[in-house]
Amino acid sequence: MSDLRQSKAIIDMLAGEGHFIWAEPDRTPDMAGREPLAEHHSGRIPNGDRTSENPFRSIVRPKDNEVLVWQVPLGRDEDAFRELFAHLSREEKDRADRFRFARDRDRFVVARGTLREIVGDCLNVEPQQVRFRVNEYGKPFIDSDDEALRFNVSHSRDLALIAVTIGREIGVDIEFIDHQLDAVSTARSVFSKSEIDELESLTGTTRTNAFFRGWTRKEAYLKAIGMGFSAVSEDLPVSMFNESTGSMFEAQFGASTRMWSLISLAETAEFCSALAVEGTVESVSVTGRFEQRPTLLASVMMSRTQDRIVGRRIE
Amino acid sequence: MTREEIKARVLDILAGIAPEAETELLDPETDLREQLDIDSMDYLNFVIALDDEFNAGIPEKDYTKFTTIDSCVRQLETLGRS
Repeated sequence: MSDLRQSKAIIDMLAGEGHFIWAEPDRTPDMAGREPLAEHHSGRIPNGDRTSENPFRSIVRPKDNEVLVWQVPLGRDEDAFRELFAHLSREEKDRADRFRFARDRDRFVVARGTLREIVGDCLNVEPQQVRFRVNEYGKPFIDSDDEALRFNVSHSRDLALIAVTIGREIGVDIEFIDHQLDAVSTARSVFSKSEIDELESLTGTTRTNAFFRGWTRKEAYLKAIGMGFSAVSEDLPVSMFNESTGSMFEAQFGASTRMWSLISLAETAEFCSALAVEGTVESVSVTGRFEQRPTLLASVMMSRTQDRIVGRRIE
Repeated sequence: MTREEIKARVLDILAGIAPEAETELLDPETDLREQLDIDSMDYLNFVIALDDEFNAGIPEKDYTKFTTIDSCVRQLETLGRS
């Protein structure tokens, strides 16, 4: 990771400063204000299997300055499962077969099949026609003429998050909050000394939650740059105290400096999640809760004036 | 420590990370993350547990090299000789 030099400059962007707007949830399917998918893709499903119950009818391609984050429960519903399995490529079906436990296999099938539905809707192609490729660190990309569409997926236990956007790198992470975990011991391998000191100053649930907050923010960023924890994450400073706001920092890749935003999406007693996105966030609308049905978790609007911000140092 | 002894301890540690797994049935050459629902934190804790058990001093840059049972054994053999 020699070409990556993390800026130590990091600030918390507090709600009320105009950077973030935390909205009350709009729980209707067209939360982001788009028209229903059926109007864009009429007749797209040749076998007519896609019914009005399909939770992703409202999906359309994100706007150029928008990030959409979908939450997908990974429990098995027989009818939906058959349809989702049919979306998979031969390689994906083989991969599903390699799981030792049916539960793990089913979760993979639901997550991957749903990803194909979402990406297919964005590209206006059938889910089966979506092609993926991976970089040397295993980060998947869409193999398409439409190279602007970016996505990232994370799952933990029975819940997945799928983030999609246009023309900017994104990473998303969700973790089940394991209260049995020795947070400080695990942190010693991947957190900086100051972050470990920060954790050690906390106790009980507060410490555990802070650890997972820090972990998901680091992991989301490292997934966004396509390296996962194969990169050395202790060089990435993140705030762990701040529960509901995001942070912004600069990172240098070779000669170019990019601005990144880190956003906590939702934190419950069971799960913690974060989104990293290239650029500067203008507003966030997030439900703040996880549900047992596929739905839009967050809509993030990015600043269009990114070019003027890139290179500015934040102290 | 023989290769078989290393493997047996690796499987014991893996059973602690994925308690439902019948570790002896796992393919030693296939990525563990493709056989078990192991996420990045599970994986990190697996490597940390290997490091503790074998007192191996696994460098962070090598954390990605423990993805299969066979690669775990090879890495730990190598670290044990160094």
